[in-house]
Amino acid sequence: MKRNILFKTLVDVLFIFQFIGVITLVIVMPFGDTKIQMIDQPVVEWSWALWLVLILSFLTYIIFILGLYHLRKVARYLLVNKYFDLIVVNHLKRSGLYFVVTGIFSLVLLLMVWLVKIMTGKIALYDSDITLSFFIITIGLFFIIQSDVILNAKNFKDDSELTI
Amino acid sequence: MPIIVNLDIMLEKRGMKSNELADMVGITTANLSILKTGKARAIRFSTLEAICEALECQPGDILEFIKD
Repeated sequence: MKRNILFKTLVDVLFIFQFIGVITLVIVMPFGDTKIQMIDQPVVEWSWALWLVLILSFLTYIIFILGLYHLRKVARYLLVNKYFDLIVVNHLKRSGLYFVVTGIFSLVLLLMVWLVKIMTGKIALYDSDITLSFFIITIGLFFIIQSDVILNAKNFKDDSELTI
Repeated sequence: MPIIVNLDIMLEKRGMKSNELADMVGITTANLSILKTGKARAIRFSTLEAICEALECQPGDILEFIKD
């Protein structure tokens, strides 16, 4: 039970922080004094490719938050010990799907940034860290598999309960 | 499901009530109701044996296969 509470708290905190992050991004970006960390270039000097990176980053961010939103739903059900509920299965699957998409998008983003750096001649060896993207994809896939496992477990539980 | 449970008919033939049968078999009336209404997914041999013993009948008297 304590683990469930801790899990729910952590997911809630993560979700709120990410949500605040998006809001901040939306408010701060139009003022033009923001820098993309990987590029280190002021907004006014951005090329179309960098704007594309920004839009894709924002989209990835939103998708990641959607994944967290569904994970929050799962955590809420786990808190009341409803492990074998179809709602848990559906939300876990959606969460996993969103995390997989987030991971793939972030990989694409890294590739785009890498290409931009090649074009501008600012590339460095071992410049990008793709480990996090692969980890998010792995976690997403695990959630999808786990949702199938829970669905099977639910069916076995129903079978057991309806065996007289 | 093409398996039909004729427990009601057998109970009527023996003049027995559901709760009496449940007591004799050692299952709850709720579970017996699941069995009677055809909502059960499976039946244990031990339960079937106990029902047959209580109703003095054969498994075929309780279970019937009707093709969909």
